[in-house]
Amino acid sequence: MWAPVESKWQRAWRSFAHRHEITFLLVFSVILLVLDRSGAEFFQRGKFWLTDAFAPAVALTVRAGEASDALWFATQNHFSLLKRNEELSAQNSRLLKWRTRARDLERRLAYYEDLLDVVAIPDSSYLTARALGESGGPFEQAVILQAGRQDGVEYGLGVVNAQGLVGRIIGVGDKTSRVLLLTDFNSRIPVLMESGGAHAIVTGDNSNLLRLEYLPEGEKVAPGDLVVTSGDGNSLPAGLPVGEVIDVSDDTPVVLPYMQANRLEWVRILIQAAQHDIPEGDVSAAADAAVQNADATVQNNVQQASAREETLPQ
Amino acid sequence: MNDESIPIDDDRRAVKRVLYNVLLVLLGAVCVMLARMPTVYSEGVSMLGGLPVILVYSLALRNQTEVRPVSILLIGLFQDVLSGGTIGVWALLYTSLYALVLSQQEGFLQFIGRSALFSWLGFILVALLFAMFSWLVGWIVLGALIPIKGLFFQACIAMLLYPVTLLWRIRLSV
Repeated sequence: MWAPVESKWQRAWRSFAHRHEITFLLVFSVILLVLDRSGAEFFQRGKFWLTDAFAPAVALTVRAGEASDALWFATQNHFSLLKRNEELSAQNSRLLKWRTRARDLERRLAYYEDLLDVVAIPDSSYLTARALGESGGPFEQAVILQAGRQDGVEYGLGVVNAQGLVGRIIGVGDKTSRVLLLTDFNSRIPVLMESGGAHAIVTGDNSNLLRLEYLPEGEKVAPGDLVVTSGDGNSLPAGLPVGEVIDVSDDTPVVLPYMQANRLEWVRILIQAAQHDIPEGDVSAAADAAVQNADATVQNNVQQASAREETLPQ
Repeated sequence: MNDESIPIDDDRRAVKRVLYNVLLVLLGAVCVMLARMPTVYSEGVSMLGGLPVILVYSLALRNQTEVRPVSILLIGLFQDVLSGGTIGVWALLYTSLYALVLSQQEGFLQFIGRSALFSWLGFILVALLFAMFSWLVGWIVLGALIPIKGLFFQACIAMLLYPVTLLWRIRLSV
């Protein structure tokens, strides 16, 4: 029994392809890279189709990791249960006092809003989603979430965890979506200093820290100052905790994001957070939109500075 | 008998090779998934992120009639898809690593064949080169300097993990 006969040309091609296989593959990788960076729509669709297809397998691995973590945690805590119980009881009584205070403030706020006829800002509704594994690694700080278009996820929505803002959705598939973390190079978030009210932009640099840029000239920032979203550009709701200033020795103060305190296992997507005006596209589109927001903030800061100069005694 | 015809044994061998490579890709996929499993985390780099590097290095030192380079590319693409990053980066890095080790295979085998220690030293050299190359590719692709500390941290973890694979191989050979 014999296999089909190959022609001379077929054999020549096979030999050529065999010799240059690795070169072809390297060129192919570069082509993929260029296509992805160019943000070609068909390519992005294909990418999310693949992500959707592999998501269940990855979720399984993540669950295995969580189970091993839980086992480790349980083993570690087994011998300190009594102490832990006391700590939690103390924390619980502290939190109960805070709950009473929060309810009192909520009631008073509602009263004053009613008195002043304030148009209420609608509360955000959340969608909880599982993060599939760790962030993208050294090249890009992005995470795949197990929730997509079918669940109501849209481009540009904010993502938070228990600690604070995590990032923003920059790609949506049918069953999965991709969130660009605050710490990514392309991340630009308009923020507000909770203490002084100064507007600025936090940028990522692929490390675990953030940089505070475009602060108004002469604005004093100190370690410990809290940074929250400003809501500029309507891309994210205002007041989401972002991080805390930890170093002001440089021109651009360093911010420690809250979201790095815990690993990203479960996050919440702000479904009706705000009217987002970012066009659907790739990372560069998100970056462009962020730059526009940054420009708006800078202009705002310039106006504030000018107003301050005008009010200064001559 | 026709001289240009191919015996069926070659077909069987080809099928076996395809199955072998499918298994390799699956093994690579497991390594990639382990690399992305939530573990202790520092500088934006996973603790087990070096597992695929160990696999690619080990495969490049194997008999070339068995391992097909496209399997390495597929492992890289799988990591690209799961990382949520730019498609092609890990595929390019792993294929380049494979090509580098393959081109120096003879020298490597002479060097690392001396003892387990030399094998480890060989991997340390490759892991460091891979970290530097990754940094360079990151620079070109992102147009910005990525923190090199994280890449070297990951390389160091891979260096520490590599002897475990050596122990496994020694046990198999015994």
